[in-house]
Amino acid sequence: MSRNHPSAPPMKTSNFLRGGRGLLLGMLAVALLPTVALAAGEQYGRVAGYIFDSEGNPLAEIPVTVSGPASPQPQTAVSGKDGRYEISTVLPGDGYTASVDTAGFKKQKVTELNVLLGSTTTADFALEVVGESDNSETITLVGKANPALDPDTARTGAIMSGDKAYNTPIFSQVQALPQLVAGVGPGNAPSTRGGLQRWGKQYVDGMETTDTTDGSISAPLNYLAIESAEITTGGFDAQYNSLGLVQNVITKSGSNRFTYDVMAILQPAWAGMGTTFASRQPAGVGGLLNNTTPQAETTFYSPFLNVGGPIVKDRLWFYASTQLNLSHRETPLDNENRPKDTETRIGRLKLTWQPSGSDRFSLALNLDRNTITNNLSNVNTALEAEQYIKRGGYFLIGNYDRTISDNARLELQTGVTWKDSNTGPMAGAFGIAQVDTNNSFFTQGGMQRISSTNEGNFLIERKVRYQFDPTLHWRLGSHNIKGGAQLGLMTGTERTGVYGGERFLNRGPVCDPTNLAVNCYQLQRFYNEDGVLADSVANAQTNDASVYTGGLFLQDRWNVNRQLTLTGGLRFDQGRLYGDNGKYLGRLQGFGPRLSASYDLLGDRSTLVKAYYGRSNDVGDLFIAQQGNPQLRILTATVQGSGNTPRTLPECELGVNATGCASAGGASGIQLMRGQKAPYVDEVQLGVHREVASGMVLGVDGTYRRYANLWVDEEINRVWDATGTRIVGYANGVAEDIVQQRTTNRAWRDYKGMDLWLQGRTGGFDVLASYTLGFNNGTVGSYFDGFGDNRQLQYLFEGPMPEDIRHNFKGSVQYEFGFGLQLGTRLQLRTGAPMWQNTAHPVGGGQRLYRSPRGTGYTLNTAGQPDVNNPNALVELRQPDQFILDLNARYDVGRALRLQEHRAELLLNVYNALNSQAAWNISDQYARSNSTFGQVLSRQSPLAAQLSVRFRN
Amino acid sequence: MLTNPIRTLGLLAALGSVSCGGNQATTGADPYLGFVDSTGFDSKFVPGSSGYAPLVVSAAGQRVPVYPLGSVPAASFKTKVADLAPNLATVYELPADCEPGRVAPPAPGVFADDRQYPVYDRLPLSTTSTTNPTLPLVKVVKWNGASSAGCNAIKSHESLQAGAFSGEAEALAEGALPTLAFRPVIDTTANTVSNLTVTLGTTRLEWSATSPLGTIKPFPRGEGWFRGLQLAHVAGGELPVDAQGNVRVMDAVLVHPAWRDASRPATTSSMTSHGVLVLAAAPGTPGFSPIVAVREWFIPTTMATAVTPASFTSLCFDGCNPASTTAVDFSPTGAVRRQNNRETTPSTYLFIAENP
Repeated sequence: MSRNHPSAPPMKTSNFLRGGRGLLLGMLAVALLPTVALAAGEQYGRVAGYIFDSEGNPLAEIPVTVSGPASPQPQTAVSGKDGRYEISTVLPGDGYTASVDTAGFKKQKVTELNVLLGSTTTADFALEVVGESDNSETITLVGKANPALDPDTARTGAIMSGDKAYNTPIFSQVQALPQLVAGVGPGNAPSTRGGLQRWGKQYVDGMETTDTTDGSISAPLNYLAIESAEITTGGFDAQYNSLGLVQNVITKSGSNRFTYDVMAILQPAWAGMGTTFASRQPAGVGGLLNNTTPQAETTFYSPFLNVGGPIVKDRLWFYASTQLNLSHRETPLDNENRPKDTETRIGRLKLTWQPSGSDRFSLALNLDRNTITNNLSNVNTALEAEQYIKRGGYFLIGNYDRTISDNARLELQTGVTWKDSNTGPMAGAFGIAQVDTNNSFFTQGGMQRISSTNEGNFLIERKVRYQFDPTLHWRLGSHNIKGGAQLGLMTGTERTGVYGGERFLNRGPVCDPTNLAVNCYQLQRFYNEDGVLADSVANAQTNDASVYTGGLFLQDRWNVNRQLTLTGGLRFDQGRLYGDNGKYLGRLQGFGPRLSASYDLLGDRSTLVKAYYGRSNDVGDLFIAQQGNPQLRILTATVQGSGNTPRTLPECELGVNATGCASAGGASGIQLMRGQKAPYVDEVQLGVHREVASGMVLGVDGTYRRYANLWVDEEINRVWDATGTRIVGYANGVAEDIVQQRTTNRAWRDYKGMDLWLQGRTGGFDVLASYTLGFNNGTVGSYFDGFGDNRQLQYLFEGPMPEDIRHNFKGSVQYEFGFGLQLGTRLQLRTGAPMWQNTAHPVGGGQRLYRSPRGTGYTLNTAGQPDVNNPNALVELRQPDQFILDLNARYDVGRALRLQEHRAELLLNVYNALNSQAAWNISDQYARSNSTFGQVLSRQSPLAAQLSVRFRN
Repeated sequence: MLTNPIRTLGLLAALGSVSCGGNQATTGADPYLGFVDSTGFDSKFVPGSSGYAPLVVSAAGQRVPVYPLGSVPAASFKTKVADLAPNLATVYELPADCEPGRVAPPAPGVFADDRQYPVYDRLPLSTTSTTNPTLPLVKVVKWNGASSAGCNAIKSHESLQAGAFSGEAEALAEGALPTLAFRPVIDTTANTVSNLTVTLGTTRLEWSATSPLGTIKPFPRGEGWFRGLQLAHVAGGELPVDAQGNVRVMDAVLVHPAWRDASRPATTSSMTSHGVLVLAAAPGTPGFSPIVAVREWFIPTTMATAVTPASFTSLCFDGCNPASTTAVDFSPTGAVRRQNNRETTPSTYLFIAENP
């Protein structure tokens, strides 16, 4: 019953239904098209409540007006028969006022309402009849409701304002926000509630911008341009399809007031502790303990400029922002400090046009460019072979909102994201490259983001996403219904190769190709699928893929009464996968039912009990589709001869068996199987949320999640002996590997956890803190992680997942003094993730050999080896616990200078305030000789301080 | 508006309790913990880079392959059962009437589900002891009365001894000797046939793969358990014991080529010949034992240069011709047993497994 335009004629329900039927039919028609599952995100918050008389009887037809500084115009809604009103298009912000001014009752207003993205802020009115002598009196109440105590949803997570992000020491990164929230792991692309990192979903202004292959944020954003960020970790509405978290960032739009916001972040070298060891690449830093080079330096400088205001007052607004990051980080190697320089440029422009009270358009363009030099910073890599990355992209987002009637509203979000990435050697194309220890080409990390640490390799990527997401909201009595379609197309290309087309593997020091006896082990040549040497971009192996995605959803939120809200929904998602030359690879699809309830236990808006069940399906992305294409072909020739025998290099040909020759890759051997069931998650959640102080909510949420049907690489041709260490035959009689990529219910994960969290603002405190107890078990650490390599050894794969952080305490707390000073801290304490002792499999091929169940290993005996014949030495292995303490202080100099509406702020962020250099990551790989088991692979970065100077109005 | 702390803590405890727990299921069977790692074994039981190699020996006029499983100096080996038994691993033989199909292997074929493997209490790990070297012999004990939780539910002697499966070890009759068997634990993962150079002491012995004999087969293999780990062993059978309580030992002579005699210079041609072990009895015949007492003998220089160790294919025990170039004179007065005018004792005890 909301209306933005008081003069808009009321539309009859029947008319709406006729129009609605058409829309529904349209959506159904769309559903029949090849279509996933990428939902449009929310852009607004809600103000809602009940109006009743002094005896508690509901009052209908009472208008309520909501206004605030973040909203260009006041909005009004009228209460229904049950006394409920709801305004669902309120822009997130502070300082809203809801007021009732109707004949026969005393005026009432509720002030200082805080509206958060996607949440309902409640403001109830108990109206008093006007007496003969007091008809001019206005009753003013201060809004106490905390939007974190949202009676209209069972969603879990947190909503942060742009200022909260600014006040938290997170290196000015939007993608760093989710890790502050309960149930979310560490890092900028975190795992959520026992899921894979790649399952995160990123939205900007309600449109999905997730990277099309790895689930990370697609492009960086100027974080001062953020109005609000909604991080949802569970209890998803039907409009979302995510096996991980959803981060929806709403950017600033501008208003009738001109604003400026200028900031500079300064981190000179002297503001950080010198690195006494390499914190990122210790395996490659060589004999650092004997290093006499100066300590490495780190500097960071970043200017910001944001402006916003009206172009046409009350009709057209703009908000423009730019940011430049200049980072310089030195890694101390054997004989040098190698500089890694990163330059990032971000630009953004958003236009918002509101031609009438019922229509609103916005168009946003985001640009980013990023270059990194010496990306490997590894002692084994010569300077000219160091890695150079040049990447960037843009996204263009269009939004259209139309208020069709008092009861209906249409939202359309559409746009495109484009991303280019070019990774290669610093020196560009050059001749024969050499590597020391391994022959891997590109490898896949935890998020399946392919990368290479070998010089000479190049990778050129292009990723594009198109999205078209109409959503219809309508209201029938106490039912708030929304439904929509989400249509997407992801398309991308990878081109890979090795400059020069060949590479020597050294045996010890650098091989001399003119004298094979000197340190030469193997020569590898790289070919594309046509058998042409992949020695340049023109001859690269090309991997094209496309995925059409489509989702349909329908949800009904039924406010049964003042205390109970029930929400039911259903969505259907489908993804259709295509490989090179448009080859159809199959489809993935699934239904996602949702059901939740929220109950106001005491009827006083202080205590909510919530329950939820829902399913989401992973219907594929470019990463999955690209698995179905041929890989780069690698021909390996091994130097023959030993002792006094002259060394020779065999003349090898692709596909021809000969002594010393081996081929790998290509089209044969890998089959992406059709007819697979989509990976999915079932989630059950139960929680109690209670206001424990004015504006402060304490919550307890118990969660069970079961992920199943995950993707695996299943090798089907090799016949193993009982121990799984020796090949005793081949099913088809030919000595070759045949890998089928499929989903299977043997590949699963589950999560049992409990979050205890505190959110809100009270007094001068702004708190977002939580403790999570979690148990995350399963059989696969990630898609295609080796689970299917060897069925004989699969029984060892069940155990704690790499994301199994048993105890996780985190807090972001600020306290603001009355004179413009704010002090804050961010701390995290988490127990270590599981390790799994392993060694190289004797058969090779990159397989790892495990001798104990996942998450365990053997203590070392007196010979320094794991005593695997002593089960009493079997122990649970964990990475070290981690403790991080960051501090910050902000002071508004503008107050002292009496700058009135202008603010001049100094913000000091101190990262790793204790200058801890604790080990973070320990090697779990052992070998009979030169074992690295137990060695530290990375440590906490040393203390660094950043001073920000910010002027704004 | 404060929350009752007692209620809050109670709620936390309730939710915490339902959030706890792992995925381990209890079946009543000992857990399967993988397979034994042989890299810590005594060198006798560690295969070469390509596996276990057969050794060509001579016996009863024929050349036959056997699998050598190490040797010990004669001074380190006691032949009396009563002396040997305390230092050997104990193997518990369990009742055969287990319930099939109840304990599933982790993958098809990893272990049988229709019979119970024996359980070892020790592995043949390397040792620096010279008085009690690691031997390929075990003490066999029957375990009676175990309540079966399914075939191969029992995988550890510790759970067995702790009473997890009830029953008890069969007691020896008064004055009876324990049963010993030749059961060297081997690398479960290794091949059994390959081309390797085999040496005994400093002497290089003649080895073979499929050529020239063409009859090499994997040795008879059995399975077993050690603390949940699966192991494999050579099924060598029970050791015969004589009336004096000694394990029966088979004589053999290691025939060296003449050039190995340090008193004489080597020639290029003679260096190419290997030492050959000549057994008193062929495998599978009466008198054969996997425990071999080895004496050494150098081909006399009086013999023709064409005579090599491989020329000798049998031992002669009585009425021997000292000049024979096919049978080693092993008579009490022969050159082997009376070198330097005294009765020689074996220099080494060698352990061999038959080639089936």
